[in-house]
Amino acid sequence: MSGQTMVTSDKLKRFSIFKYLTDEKLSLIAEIADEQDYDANTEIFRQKSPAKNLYLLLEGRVVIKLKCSDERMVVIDEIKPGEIFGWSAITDPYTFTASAWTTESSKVIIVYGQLLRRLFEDDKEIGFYIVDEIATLVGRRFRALEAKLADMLCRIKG
Amino acid sequence: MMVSIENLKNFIIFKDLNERELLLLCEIAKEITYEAGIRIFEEKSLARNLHLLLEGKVEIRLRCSDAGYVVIDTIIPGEIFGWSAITDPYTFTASAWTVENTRLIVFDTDAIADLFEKNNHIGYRVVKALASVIGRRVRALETKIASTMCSQ
Repeated sequence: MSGQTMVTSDKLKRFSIFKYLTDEKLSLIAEIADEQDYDANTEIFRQKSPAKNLYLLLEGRVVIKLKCSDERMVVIDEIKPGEIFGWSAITDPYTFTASAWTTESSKVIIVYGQLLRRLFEDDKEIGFYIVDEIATLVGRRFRALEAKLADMLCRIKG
Repeated sequence: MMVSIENLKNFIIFKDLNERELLLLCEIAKEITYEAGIRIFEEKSLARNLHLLLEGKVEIRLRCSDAGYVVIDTIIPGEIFGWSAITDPYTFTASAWTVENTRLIVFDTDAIADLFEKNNHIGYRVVKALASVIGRRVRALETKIASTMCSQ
């Protein structure tokens, strides 16, 4: 992991979760975010740790891994630029249930979860539009996993 | 049939709302009953309603390519299903079937979206709680898939 830099509203506009926010509202998000570089094969967050930040991938590639009971790790998702990860920072119980690792050198925007949740409470318009987009993303993730599980079950059944 | 505030209080997505806010939701909620063995909605159809289960049991089924199906989830009272109704692209990706006589609360997609737009504070609290519910379901699925992958 190396240096942090300021985040601009323009960079935030690359992410669909902010699509309904004005420049003025985006600047409030930019104030509670930092840009962070990670080398390849670095752990960004660990399964079961407190979910302190929401992550937005600007460049590079990140995989989401779950630990097997024998300590092996399996990849359950892959994150590409323009996508978000670590949304456990927004959803109760605020604990990561998987780990995130870079597979390439990556540039990430970190939004501080506690400050973001406080901003949502102070400005319900920001809160509503962002959680609505996050619910959509989590819903999409659910559907993808549902299809994967159905595929596994259909094969077992067949 | 009219829906009471008490009925809505059974659901975690409304836990942060006060009585006045719950009353606004009651005004656009409907109670519906189904007999066992009825399809409530079909895979790939337009998601017009959000469903909250008061009584009974509902299976979420996905079709296999050989025209059979698999049950990927079972919904029990106090749980929500059909939340594709309030998340883009508003299309059901699975079908829902009653397996017992069932009593539901349903919200029309347009009416609830309109209420959230006019009252962002209600929208924020309900959708945030809903995102947590979906998040928990995602984690349950991830664990199920990982355990199948781990055993291979």
